[in-house]
Amino acid sequence: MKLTTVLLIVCTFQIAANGYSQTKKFDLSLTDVTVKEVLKNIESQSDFRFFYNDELSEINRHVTIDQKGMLIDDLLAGLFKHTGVTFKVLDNNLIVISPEDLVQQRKVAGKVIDSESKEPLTGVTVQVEGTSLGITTDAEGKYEIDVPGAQSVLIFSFVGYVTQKIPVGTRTIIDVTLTLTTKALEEVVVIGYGVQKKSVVTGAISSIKSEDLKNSSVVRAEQVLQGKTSGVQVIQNSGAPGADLNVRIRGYGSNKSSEPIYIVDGTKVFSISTLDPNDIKDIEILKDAASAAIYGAEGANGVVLITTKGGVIGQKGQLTYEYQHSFQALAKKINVLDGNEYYNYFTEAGGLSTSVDRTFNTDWQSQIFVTSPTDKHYLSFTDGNDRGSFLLSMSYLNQDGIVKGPQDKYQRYTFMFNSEYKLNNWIKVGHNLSVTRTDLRAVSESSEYGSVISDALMCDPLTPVTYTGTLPDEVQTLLTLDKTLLKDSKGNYYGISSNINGEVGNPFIARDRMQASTQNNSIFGNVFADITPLKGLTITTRLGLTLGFSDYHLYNPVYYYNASQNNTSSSVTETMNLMTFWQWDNYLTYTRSFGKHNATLLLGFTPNEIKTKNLSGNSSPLLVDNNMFDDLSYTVANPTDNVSGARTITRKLSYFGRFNYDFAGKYLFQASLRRDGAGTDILDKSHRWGIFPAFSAGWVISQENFYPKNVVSFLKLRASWGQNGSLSNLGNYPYASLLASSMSTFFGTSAIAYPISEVALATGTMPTTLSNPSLGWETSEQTDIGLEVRAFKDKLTFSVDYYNKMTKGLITTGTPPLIAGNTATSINAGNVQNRGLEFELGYRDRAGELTYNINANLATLHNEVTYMNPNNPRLSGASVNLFTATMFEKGYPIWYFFGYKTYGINPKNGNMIYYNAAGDTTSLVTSTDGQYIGSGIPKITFGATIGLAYKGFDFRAFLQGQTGNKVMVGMIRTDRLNYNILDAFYEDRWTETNINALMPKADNSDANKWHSDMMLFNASFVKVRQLQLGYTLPKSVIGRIKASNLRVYLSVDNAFTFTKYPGMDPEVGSSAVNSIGIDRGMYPICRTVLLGGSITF
Amino acid sequence: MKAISNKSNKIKILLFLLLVFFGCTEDWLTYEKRGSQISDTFYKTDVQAFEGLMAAFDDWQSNIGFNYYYILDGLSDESYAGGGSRGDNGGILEELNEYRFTVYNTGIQGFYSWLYTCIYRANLVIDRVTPDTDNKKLDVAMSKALRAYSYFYLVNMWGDVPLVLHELSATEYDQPRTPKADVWAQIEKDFTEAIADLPTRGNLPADFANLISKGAAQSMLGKAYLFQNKFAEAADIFEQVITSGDYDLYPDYSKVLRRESEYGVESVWEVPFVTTQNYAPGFPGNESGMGVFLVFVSPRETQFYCPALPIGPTGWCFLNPHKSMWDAYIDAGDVVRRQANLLSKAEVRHLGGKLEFPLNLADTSVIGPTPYGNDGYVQMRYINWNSEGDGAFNWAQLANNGTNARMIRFADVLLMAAEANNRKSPADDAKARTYLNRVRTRVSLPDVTSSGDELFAAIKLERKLELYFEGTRYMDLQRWQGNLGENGDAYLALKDQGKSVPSGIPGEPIPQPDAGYKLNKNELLPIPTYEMQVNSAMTQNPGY
Repeated sequence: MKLTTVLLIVCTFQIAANGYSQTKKFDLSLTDVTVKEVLKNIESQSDFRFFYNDELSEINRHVTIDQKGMLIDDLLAGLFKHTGVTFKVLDNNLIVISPEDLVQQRKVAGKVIDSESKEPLTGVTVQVEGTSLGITTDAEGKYEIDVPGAQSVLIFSFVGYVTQKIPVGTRTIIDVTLTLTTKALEEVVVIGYGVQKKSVVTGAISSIKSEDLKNSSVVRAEQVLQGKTSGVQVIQNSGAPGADLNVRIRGYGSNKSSEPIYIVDGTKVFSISTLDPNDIKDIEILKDAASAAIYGAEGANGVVLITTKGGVIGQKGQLTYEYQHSFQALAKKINVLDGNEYYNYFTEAGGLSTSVDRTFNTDWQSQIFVTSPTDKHYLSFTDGNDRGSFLLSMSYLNQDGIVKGPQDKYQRYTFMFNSEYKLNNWIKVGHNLSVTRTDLRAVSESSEYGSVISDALMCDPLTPVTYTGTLPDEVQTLLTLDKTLLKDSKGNYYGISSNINGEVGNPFIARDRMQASTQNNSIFGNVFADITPLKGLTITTRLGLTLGFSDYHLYNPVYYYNASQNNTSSSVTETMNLMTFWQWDNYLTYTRSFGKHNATLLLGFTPNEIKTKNLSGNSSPLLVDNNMFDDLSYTVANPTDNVSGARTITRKLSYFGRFNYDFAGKYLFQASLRRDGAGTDILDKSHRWGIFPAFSAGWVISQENFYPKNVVSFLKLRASWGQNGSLSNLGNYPYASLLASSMSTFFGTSAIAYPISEVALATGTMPTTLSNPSLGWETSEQTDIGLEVRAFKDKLTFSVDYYNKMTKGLITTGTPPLIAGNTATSINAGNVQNRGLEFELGYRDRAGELTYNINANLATLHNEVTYMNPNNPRLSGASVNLFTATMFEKGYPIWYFFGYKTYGINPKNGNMIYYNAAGDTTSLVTSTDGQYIGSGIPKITFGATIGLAYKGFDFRAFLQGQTGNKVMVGMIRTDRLNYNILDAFYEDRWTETNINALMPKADNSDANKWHSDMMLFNASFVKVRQLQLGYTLPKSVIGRIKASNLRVYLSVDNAFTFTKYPGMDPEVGSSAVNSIGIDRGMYPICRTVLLGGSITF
Repeated sequence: MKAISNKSNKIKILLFLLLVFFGCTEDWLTYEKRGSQISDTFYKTDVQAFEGLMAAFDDWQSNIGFNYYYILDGLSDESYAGGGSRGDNGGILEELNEYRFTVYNTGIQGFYSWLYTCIYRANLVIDRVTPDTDNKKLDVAMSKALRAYSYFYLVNMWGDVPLVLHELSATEYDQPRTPKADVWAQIEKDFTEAIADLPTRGNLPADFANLISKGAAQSMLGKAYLFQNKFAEAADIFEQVITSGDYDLYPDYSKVLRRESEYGVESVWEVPFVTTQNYAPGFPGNESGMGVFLVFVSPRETQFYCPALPIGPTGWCFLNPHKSMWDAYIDAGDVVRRQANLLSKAEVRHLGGKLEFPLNLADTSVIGPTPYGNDGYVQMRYINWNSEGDGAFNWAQLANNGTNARMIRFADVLLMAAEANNRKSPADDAKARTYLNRVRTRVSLPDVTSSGDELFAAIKLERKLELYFEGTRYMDLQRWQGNLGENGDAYLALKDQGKSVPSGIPGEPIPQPDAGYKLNKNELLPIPTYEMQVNSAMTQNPGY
């Protein structure tokens, strides 16, 4: 921490320095030295840096100097007196030395045009290198700037174009032609512990550049990845504000977690939800094993590298403010049975009396969902001089969910401070710091056992939201029994269903009975130093740190709804988690070129450590049952109150190396090796070290002499192979035989104890499991072959990749024989294969003043479990209504849908006809007839972005979709009568007058049909994720308020969804990996209308 | 732009970084789990060794209800498997009771697994505890007795079984069967070593007082001899128990399984349960009342009404008295034990209750069917007596039932001694009769005067009447079956078992034609299918 403080002080001081030349005094005593050496001496004892042409003869003149207490001006004036050479001290302590005739402030003017269209470019930044002098071009592409002298260099930079540096010399008119970036081979990509020119990259790396991110309206960083590149699937677990997302890179690599790792500015982070998307500069996704192998034991599921924004060295200060205001609303109401349909269906089924009260016909979705606003503010400052730069930004997000009331809300505050500074010409230091706080109040969802969302779908329509008139008798009876019934804000009692019982009921009750909130505070960042002791050699040391503090608060008031839903004693629960993580990267990079041979060697070493601590308390009842007393201090002490807490530690140590070589940018080769050592909480000492090698090679065919000049200007073939590990499913001593004095039994955890008398229990202790010291890393091995093409003057870019990724040694439960006498710990027994093709296509061009670009991507995925422990060939996954709904088994996609296969409806009686396990039709199935009925994993995913710009207007459409997967309707209860169902089961159901029906008759007797493929629906969809229209005001207008850029925009997010799925949203995710594609009443992804504006000064 | 200076500083930084590179060692990656001990360093102190022993005992305690009584009674001719309807007990018990079980029966797997779990826990103590203190000597001795007694059940029920005497590593999982003779030899060795180190009852230190005494281990060893037809050795060792003076018969037979006689004169080995654990109603834990066993076998709540009988409100009737038990007591004129052990439908009605299925339980004039698998009798041996539990209301009393399981009673020892003396060569029928008649006298039955095979038959009958519902019957029948084939006791008693199960509605038994004990198959239980899958060296028993 001390080092950080020092660096911060140094940086701040240096940037703020002024008047230095008026105060700094020099003592010099030198005999017969060159002027150059004098200048060096001055540099070594001050912050002044000299700028001169080495060929200037005056610089090599020999002098003798002996002066004390001299100011820089006086010192230099003496030195250069009568030499025809003069100097100028600039604001930033840069001193320019040049022949006298060239040093004079003068104006330079010119025009900047596009190299292709020859059209003028507006808004190009023109800056004098090493100064804060700068201006932007006007609507005609013209500029005029004062330069200090002939030594000045002008920098022309414009987003999407290659930056140009032009020395002024004696010219007064400088016209410039800028070229689009894609043309340039200089584009670099971040590859992990370094960067590489895109043209010589040999791995499969997808990039999302700041341009693609610029006009995004998403509020979460993960969403930025969605649909932008092939092979990256972002699975939205929920549409609720603040809900987590899962990211899958090249399929699903495990029976457990297969999340990629996130590296932000070189340091691993545990979630990127704490980043404001505006702070992201660019994202690289390392998809193939060879690219990810530098992250060794953590790279098996892909690596997402994020670079956050910073200032730009040499770019003058900028202030940017952005505001977004949006409204979100339910995109699609799900069709469930209304009052009449409900009456028809359930009286037919025999579950509902024909004399039921049909006064009400409540549309629960219209009642519980409202249109709600979101506000977001973003403010950033950047500045830079020739030696350093910084960015300071802050953002505030206030998102109100679409569930009525304050219980559905997400707030996020972020603060980011990044800087870098060249201390001298061989040390650069810098830091990244991100501070985030989130406040989340989430409603329950996604459960067939009652939640706000599933209640809104499953509660019967014959129950009113509230009673406004006299209470029904049964409700009156509850009040006379002193039951606490919940009321709405107007004081009316909420309706209690008399048609359904159990866990599902009035969704307003589900909302109010549990008041939970989660606060997260996190600080992450790093400090680094790049040391360049020799030409080509850089040593980087970087200390990354994450501090996380989260607090979960739950208040359960006393209430009564029915026999299943009630709480007789108010309670409060508080859970606090502390997390400290540090990672210390140390690596050296040595780059050398000799002739046409270019080589880079990387060697490094990084230890990291995570420590956690949690504390949880629960107390009941509250002194007074309301929100002012829901703290642990304001409760009545009770023997059932409890406190618990524990600490954990996990460490890892890694060594890594990489060698890159290319010959003339034509023949490319890369090899890397990483050795990871796991702490004893992960693996046993005897098997803790893992070695992860990777090789890749490329051939830029278009660089060959024999390659004919044609429309295809760039053609590269590449191939890679590598191995990676996965840590995510290891931890908490999974191999060890640990002793315990309690064990889990049929009735829950119970102590191992034995009564040695009528009053005394003696504690017993025994190993909880057998040990497995040979437990090893989950390892993925991947081969990738790719082709990259650029054509039509680089307007067209295209790439295709084939990959085959095998994850071996999945962690499953061991199966020792019964004679071993204990259960087993984890073993490595299971392989999963993911393979597919990935295509990315881009085209950009301009027609007159209209520029347009199209980026499209498509990926196929074949996912299959290829090996399982023969003793445990099928793992049971998630259940729907107590019936196993997903399985993990050899020969099938992971966690496939399991259930009964149906043949059709028997026209004679409306019952379902099934296939049994042998494949014969039958009206009766038993649990052994359950089988594969589909998969929730899409076979094809795709995305496309279309961008148009005309004069100040810009338009963008973003589409995304997938096909080849199913959704299982999990909002079903067969053990309770009369829970509402989807219209899809009603409309074409069998009745005596509709005997050739698609759906079976209304019937309570056959529960099996609700566990069959009848519950599966095609989940293919195309979503129009974003339609955005923006307008950038002309410079002539905003110049009056001294702004350099002002853009306003209107965006409609999740505007349309094309799908056959009858539920709310076919995009069903789940935070549980074994529950992919099961819709238990998921919080839908909302349609959002957003107005925003950004201004830069 | 400028040349590089300060070379020495740079070298210092480089050296520092190199130090950092190699400064981290393996030690940094090694740390122990908080809140858990590892088995490598445990089993050192007296307390740790005792905790290891308690884990082995705990295995017996937590399996007594679910496995021991449930399976052994279910396999015997004492009971029908029943419940609310056919299949109510999950089908596992019906399969066992009707001799229709296969390799998939999870009850058999549970029993097999339980015994090896006990062996595993006992092995840990025997292997890792150095018996360098008096207490540790006792820990090892008792672990040997538990291990030997577990193998006793394994070898009797499955024949040749893998003999596992230490913690298996993953490379040792494929273990072949060990010939029965070797298993028996190990059993005798373990018991003999245990007996040498165990004090007699009353001389055990306080913490060990109610565990396994010398007399208990001797009784177990005697039983092991008897089951191998080593009658002379059995008679010898039983004689030591009987003449030790540590044991006698409890005067009131009807109370021998009740709390008032716990740790009493007749107790040779008990597995204890206590009432002090405050288990929530409906969720008994391991330390009270044999798990849910008492709920499983008590009279069915919806079909039983008898305020005069102070028992808990819940029972499921999974095991019901076989009519032949009632008949046997009648035939033998054994009024005391009949009245203590069984209650007939007529007797219940006489008490003002009923054992039938009326909707209105309190109205005794309405007569309905008895529960499925019930022929009109209630067993009163292990039952949810209110007075045996602790708690404010019936449910809690049931959850906190403290009746100890009587594993070996002195009456059993006397009868085994009688059998050994009767069958040894030369026989000592006088002594056999003495021991037999000692048991009969307590329940007011006249002395037996016969000898030879006739005396043997009388001893067999006595075991049936005396030890009803105590888990001994199935093993006795199998022991006496021997190589007698169609003349064997097990075959004769069980060949028609399950072919006709009382449905509860008089005159409507449910036919199960494939039921019944089959020769050359049911002498042994099948090796569970899971074990066959994961242990490639394992072979299946004949007929399965």
